[in-house]
Amino acid sequence: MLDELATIKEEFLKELINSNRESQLFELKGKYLGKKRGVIRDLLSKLPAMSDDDKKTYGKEINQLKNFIEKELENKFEELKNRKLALPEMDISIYGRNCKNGSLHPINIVKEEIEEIFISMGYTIASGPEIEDSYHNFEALNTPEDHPSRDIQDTFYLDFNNLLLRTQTSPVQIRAMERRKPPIKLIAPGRVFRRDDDISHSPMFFQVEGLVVDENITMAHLKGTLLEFYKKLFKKDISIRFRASYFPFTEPSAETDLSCVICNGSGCGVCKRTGWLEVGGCGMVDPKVFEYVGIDPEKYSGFAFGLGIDRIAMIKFQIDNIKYFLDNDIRFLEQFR
Amino acid sequence: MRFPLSWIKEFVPIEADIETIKEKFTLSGTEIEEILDLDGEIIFDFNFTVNRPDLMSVFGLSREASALFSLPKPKYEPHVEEGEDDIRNFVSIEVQDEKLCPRYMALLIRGVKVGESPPYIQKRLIECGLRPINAVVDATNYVLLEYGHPLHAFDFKYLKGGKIIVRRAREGEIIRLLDGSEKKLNSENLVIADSEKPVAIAGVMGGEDSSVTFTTKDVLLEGALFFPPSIRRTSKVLNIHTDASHRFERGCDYNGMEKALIMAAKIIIENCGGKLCKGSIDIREEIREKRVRLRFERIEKILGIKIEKDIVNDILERLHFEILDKNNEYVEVLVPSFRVDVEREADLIEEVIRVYGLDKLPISLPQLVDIEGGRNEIQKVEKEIRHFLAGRNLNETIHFSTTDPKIDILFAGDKEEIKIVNPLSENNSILRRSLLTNLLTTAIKNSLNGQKFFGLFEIGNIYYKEQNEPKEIPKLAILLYDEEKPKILNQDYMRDFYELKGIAESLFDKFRISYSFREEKPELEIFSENHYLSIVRDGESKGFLGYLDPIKLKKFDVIGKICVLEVDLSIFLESKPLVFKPFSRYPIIKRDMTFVMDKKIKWSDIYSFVLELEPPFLSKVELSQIYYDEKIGLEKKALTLSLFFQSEERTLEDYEVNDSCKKIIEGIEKNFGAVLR
Repeated sequence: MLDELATIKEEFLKELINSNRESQLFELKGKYLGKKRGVIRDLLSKLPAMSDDDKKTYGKEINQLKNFIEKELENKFEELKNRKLALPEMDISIYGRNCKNGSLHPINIVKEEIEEIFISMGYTIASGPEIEDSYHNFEALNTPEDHPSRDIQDTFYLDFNNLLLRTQTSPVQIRAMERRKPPIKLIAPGRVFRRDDDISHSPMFFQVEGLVVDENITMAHLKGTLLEFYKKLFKKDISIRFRASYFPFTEPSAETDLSCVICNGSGCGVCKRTGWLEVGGCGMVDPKVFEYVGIDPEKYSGFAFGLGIDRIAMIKFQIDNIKYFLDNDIRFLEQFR
Repeated sequence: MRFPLSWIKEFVPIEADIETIKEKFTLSGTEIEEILDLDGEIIFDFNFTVNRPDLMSVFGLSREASALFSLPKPKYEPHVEEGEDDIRNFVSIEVQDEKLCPRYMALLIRGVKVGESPPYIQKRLIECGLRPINAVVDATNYVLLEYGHPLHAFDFKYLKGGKIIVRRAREGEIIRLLDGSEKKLNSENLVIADSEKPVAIAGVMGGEDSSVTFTTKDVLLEGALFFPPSIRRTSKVLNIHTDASHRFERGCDYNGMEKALIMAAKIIIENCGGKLCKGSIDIREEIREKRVRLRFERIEKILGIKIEKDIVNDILERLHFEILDKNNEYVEVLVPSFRVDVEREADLIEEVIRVYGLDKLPISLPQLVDIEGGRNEIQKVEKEIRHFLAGRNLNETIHFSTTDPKIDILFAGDKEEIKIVNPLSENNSILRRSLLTNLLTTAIKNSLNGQKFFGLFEIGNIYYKEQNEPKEIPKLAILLYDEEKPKILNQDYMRDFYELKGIAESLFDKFRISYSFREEKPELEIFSENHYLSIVRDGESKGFLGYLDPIKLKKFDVIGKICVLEVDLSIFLESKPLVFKPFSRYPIIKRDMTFVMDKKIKWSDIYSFVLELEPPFLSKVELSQIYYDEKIGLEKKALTLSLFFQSEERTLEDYEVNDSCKKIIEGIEKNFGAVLR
């Protein structure tokens, strides 16, 4: 009898393994646990003919087998249910769907970073016309006609009203000061145009002009502001150097040099082994400029600075040719995701 | 400009090493760009700022070095023996325009024998980048380099009537110059003339006929001062740039010619013999001395650093400013005549700090209150759109504002063009009247580079004339290019009309503006006639989107389909406020219905027809499928509508929407000749 029970258990397990559908499991359940002709039922029906001792022994064994079969079936049902819910097999190394980014133009990436930094320092973003008159682009900036400093600003002239394409963002200074009284604290990013096209010059490029005017604005403030700005822009503890220079609309004037952000000042190709990067001009607003816009230079003082967005973008992204910017080759553009 | 260090050392005992000299000059405003070593001769290449013509000589640099390094001031005291004959017996000079020529001096040397210069002069000229000519011309050039004042030597024999007249040129007068070129002059140009004709263009270049040659016997040396803007204009118009004009247009020392002439005469007589006539001719307009007062408190106010008064005074003196008056409040100085750039207090403040050292400026930040920073509305919109479109797998571009008129005309409409008077090329000779001009060119260029499926955009200004006023209008343009869709799993961009329209719709939704699309015949021929929508806001067209006509693109060798959008950036301003709308919590009943109808029937007509029926509880109508099949008929389509019904107050029963559906079906069948499937 005990052998018989062991055989039944073995057979059940074999059948169970091969049952992979619910219907098969139901069949199996009927075969073994069926109330009328199930295997267990058959076994139990043999009990009354046995001795009391045997009844006790086999009755217990048969019950254990019954419980075992019930438990196994239940587990298998659950397993089949889970199998239905489970996720299909996938190659999760495949890239995601439609997840490709477009790109922002590197000039605008840098322009925006510059704007954010100055906005955090309380500056207004100003703008002015790209088609300018000579007064705002030159005269009011203390650059009269026949002044040699116009040499480096070869100008595109337009065919009416003596208009031109602005050669610098500085005229925005003049327009801002004409419009409102100090305090003034602004930057003016934008495109500028010079009639110059060679390996390192583009006839159109991008500048940011900065202007702060109030009582008691000093050149020390200018130095502090630019240092703060460049540290934030390059996310580095850099140093800054003023080199005396000349611009018609500032006095004193200086060129701003940064300790090279690539080699930290030890000398590399980007800084031409000098350890310094020239990044733009600056200075204290010339009293003549204040006179042009009707601000009292005795009461107010101010600083102005300019920087080239192209130049910064070239340093930041290590772009070796200014011509890439306006070429709009997708192989270039798509790198700036 | 190049100068040898050894020459400078003849005037100032500078002992600092080369790197220190370079740094000191560079930081104080005169950049030493390069240091050359020519056979042991150290040569500095200076980059002068335009306001410092006084530095453009060995002596000028020595003067500056003495101030920068606190060395004894250099001296320039040439001396030459005069002969018996008075210059006045031979020469007469008349200056007709004192404004353009405030001072004119001349010396006369008689009986020279012109040969070549001695080697030391030739060597120095070459080191500084000049070409030796003959001993007389070389002497004037040598003095130019050494002392900075341009001189000119005439062969006296060729000055007709022994006369010099400084006058404006007569209209159409012609002069043959030293370089062999011939120039036609006008009354803007100042000339040096003899009794008959011009012999030199003042301050720019001498004439060929009167130039000193190896046969010259008598030399008239000219040392003058000319009005800088006039020299600059003449040199620009005639396109002649010389060492003389370079200095004169920046401004020369009113007194500079005195010593320069004597030194030149001395060198000529040493090398060519001859005798200097007694005296000189000196015709001058008196000029006012420049006295400037510097208030000490202004230094701190402008620079943010306190500099001791004694130090300030010392710096000014080292820079050759003569102190006329000083007290606790201010110092008043006499500006030396060679400092043409210094006129005002602000100029003196710069002088003080550049010598004192800009590196000593402290670092601080301005404290400003009552200022509201940040971007204005249009700047904010621009930034958001750029990021939005980059997120839609479009690449941002930036193009020149100038463009090719031949292509621009395709997109310009009736906008009047703005021409550039002096363009670099015909391809860039007008300002763009549409962003699409350059975008199209870029698309073509990229397609030739093997890009066959892409999307580009730009935000920027377009420009045109309106009633003789310039207009600069900010625009957004998008271009989709579809030549060959790459077969890539999981990358389902289309680059077609519907994608572009979808981008536009989602942009307009994002900015919550009311707009509509209007089907129109395109104004511009380049567009395909039946694939064009006008973008309308407040009844006014603000832009368009559509396919360019592939047939018209043939001439550009474009294979792909190009779909573009251009819209005024201002359309994105004035968004509707974002207000929460309560939503119904009751279940939705959805009904789908498929009709077979004529292919040409527009979705928008069916959509508005259904809405106009105003069926109760209808909350949404969607188009779920359009299907074309030969079985339905070539001129037919099957179109499936999904209708959504929902009540705000309760759960709807089926029978409540059946009526509406029946009305809609009957309506569509009747109105559009459609059949329910």
